[in-house]
Amino acid sequence: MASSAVSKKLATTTGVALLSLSLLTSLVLLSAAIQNSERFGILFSFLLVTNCLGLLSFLILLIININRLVGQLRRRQPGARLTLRMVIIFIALSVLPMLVLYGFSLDFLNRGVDSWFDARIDLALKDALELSKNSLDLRMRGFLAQTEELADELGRGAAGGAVLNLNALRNPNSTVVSNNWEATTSDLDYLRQREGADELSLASAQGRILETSSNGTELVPTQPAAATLLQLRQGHSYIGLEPQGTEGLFVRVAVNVPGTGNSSEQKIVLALFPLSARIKSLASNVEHAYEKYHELDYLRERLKISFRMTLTLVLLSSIAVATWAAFFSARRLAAPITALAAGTLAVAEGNYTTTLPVTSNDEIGLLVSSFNAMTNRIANAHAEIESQNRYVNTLLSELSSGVLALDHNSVITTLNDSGRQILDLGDSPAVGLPLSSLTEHREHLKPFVEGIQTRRIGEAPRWQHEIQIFNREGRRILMCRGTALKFGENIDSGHVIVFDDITALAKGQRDAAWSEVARRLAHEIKNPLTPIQLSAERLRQKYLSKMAPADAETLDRLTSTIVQQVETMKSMVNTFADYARPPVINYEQIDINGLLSAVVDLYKTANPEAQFRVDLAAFLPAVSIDASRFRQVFNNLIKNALEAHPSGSPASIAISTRDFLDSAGHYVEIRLADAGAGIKSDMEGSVFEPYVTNKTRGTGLGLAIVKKIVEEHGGIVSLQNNEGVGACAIIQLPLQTLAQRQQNEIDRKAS
Amino acid sequence: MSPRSVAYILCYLLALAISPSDARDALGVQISGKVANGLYYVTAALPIVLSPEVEEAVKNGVPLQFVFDFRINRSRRYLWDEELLSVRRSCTLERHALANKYVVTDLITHRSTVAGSIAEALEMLGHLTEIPLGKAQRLITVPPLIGTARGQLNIEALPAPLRPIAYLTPSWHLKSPRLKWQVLP
Repeated sequence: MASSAVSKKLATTTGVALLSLSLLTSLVLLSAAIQNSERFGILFSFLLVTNCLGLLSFLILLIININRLVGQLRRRQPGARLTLRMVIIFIALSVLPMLVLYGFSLDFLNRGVDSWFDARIDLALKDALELSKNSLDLRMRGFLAQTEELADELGRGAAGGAVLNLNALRNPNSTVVSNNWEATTSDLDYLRQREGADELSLASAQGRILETSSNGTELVPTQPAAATLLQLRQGHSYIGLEPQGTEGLFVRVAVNVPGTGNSSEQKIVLALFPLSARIKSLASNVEHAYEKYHELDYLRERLKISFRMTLTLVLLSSIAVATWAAFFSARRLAAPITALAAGTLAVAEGNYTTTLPVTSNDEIGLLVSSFNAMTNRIANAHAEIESQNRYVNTLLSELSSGVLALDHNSVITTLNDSGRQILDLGDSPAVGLPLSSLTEHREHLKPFVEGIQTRRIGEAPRWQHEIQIFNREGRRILMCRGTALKFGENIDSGHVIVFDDITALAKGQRDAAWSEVARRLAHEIKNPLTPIQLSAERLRQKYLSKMAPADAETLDRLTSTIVQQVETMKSMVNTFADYARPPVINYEQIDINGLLSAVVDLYKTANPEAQFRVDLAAFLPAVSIDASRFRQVFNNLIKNALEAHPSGSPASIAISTRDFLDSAGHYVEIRLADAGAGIKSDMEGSVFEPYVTNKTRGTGLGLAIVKKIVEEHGGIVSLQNNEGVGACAIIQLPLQTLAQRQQNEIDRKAS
Repeated sequence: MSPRSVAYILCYLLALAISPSDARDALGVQISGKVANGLYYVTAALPIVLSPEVEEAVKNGVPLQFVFDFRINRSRRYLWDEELLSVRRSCTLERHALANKYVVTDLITHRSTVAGSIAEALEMLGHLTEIPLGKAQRLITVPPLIGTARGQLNIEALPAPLRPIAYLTPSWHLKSPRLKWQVLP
């Protein structure tokens, strides 16, 4: 791939170099052609077109380069602006001197061409031409006189119907005797030779050649022109210089032969006289010089235009080549820097394995080498960090504790699998979102989020707090330990919170503690109760009959009280024993409404004065619970409600059930409200603790047992004051199938 | 070649010789052809008119070269015309300052004729007499045969500095339309 790119670049460069060379050669030839070079003159148009095409090729190349650069600039490609700057600098450095040179060259050109033409030379040439004409005029007049004399000689003897004095035509040296009185070629030859003419013809007035004699190879004599004939018809002789191809100048004379009849029968003598070789040469030189100078003078402006055009072509070609060279050089120079910029961008985008080819041994090469070393080190460091991250992530995923890391803006940066599981997030995204976003569609996480935010705002670098949430599995207790992260001096870099679901642990610990207390109490109290009861009964049995009636009555009353109280204490001890006993729950699908109605009916019977307002939801789903234990729950709550009313006033108890669905799951709720004294403010947080009661009688275990049983079923119970009078107990039980309950129970026991 | 073919050719040549085609248009263009000595000759009289710019150039000593192109083609319906005979004649017209005359020179025969004025020179230039186009035997083919003639100023023969301007200036584009005459058997 790289070698093909290099080959392509080499081919392009070679092509452009050849094109430049061709253009240069063509320009040189054009310059030669425009100076009327014999060799290249015929190629002028071809060279001009070739140069224009070459220039056009370079312009196309330039347009392609400019278009490519504009595209790179629009795409904000690395190195494009640098290339643009370098191109502008190169062009300015090359084009400005060229333009200056062009301006001066144009000026010199105009002056140079003008200097060729001088009025004195012009005048001298005109004078030379005039001199030549005058000189020739003398000779021409001589030829005219000679020809007119010949014509006179021919016409003088014409008589008696003869049109010519044929005697004059006779060659005196001829031995041929002819009786034919017609002019013959040999006669004309004689006269032509005698007169020293090159051509001698006898013609009619209409220009028809009657006889001719010539010393050349021309078979056909030159016919007189119409203008010549017209001049002769007007009685004037004709004489003129006639250039004859390569043979030079001749003098043509045409005169009428006098006395040869009327105008239609008029004969004319046509003679062509040569000039001497010397005169021909001189005249030709003068004429040639004059013509050339005159032609050049006429072409002066066109010559200037042509020179300007050639110079402009040279300038444009030079500019085009220089501009292309500027593009080429700029790209070549900027290529390593462009590659460096692209490499830097790649590194910035996270491609740390970027390496650049080192193409030179100069400073740029050193820079590229340093860049490669740097990216190599970054890649190694990044790999190490990635490895450590993977290690940490593996550790975090294997941790049973939830780990939540926040940045200084309370955005979640890390949340391990256990954390997601504890918070019941499922597959919902969390990392990268604000902590508060956890509560969206998850109302049960509100205490968790608020608890963390409250303590995060606090200044304690480390904190620990127990947070309760209530999800579809019921109440969960989360032990959260937070640590503020500070990188550098007093810079808030975030927070890391480690949290555990200690619901089972806390419950187990509490149950175990209270069970131990209850067990000890039962053990310590129950043991002496039987001897006390037996002793009291024995005292009564032994002394009641022996005592006076008044004393006997007192003894009977006292021993009865002792026995009665001992029974009460036994009952209390049994209650303690019940609380301390490990729960054995027999789950079954129970209709809460039915169970509640049965319990309420018992109390209605026993307390006819009490008002029970029962509002049970229709179609309440069955709940998987232990019916006997929940009967105890309802007993304890109704009993508490009845006892909460002041004596003498009729009790009023409102009982209602409903089911509801929220983000944590599907629940059944039981509300039991009384119109009693309500909860004292100092007891609000501890009404469900054992031995906490505001009644003068009672064990203080009623509500504790309620809470214990409800929590054993995964539910939650709360007690709050009504807005008016009295308090309301609220039980929320998750709707779980029997199988789920049993599985939860197995999990709970296992944990 | 059979005697019958020879006789046919001779009859055809004779027919060509005795019935020369002739064309003359409203501008005075006259073209005629004839067969003599086995050759086909064209005689044409083409009126040549110079634009003022060209005339000024001649008067200032710039030689002009005119090219006359004569062709005889056989028309074909589905293919381009077949060229049977063709000839190019070039003549120059230049001023002779010393003689104060204009010289017309045929560049093939190198014969010069001298005229006292440009008009006379142009008339001489336009009179092309008995230009041999080639062997008349080539014309023995299926008619129609179309003769075409065109005369034009050869810009390439102008002095180099004048050529770009001549190419770019319409007044220098002296070119006659392609004149046609029908060569009849």
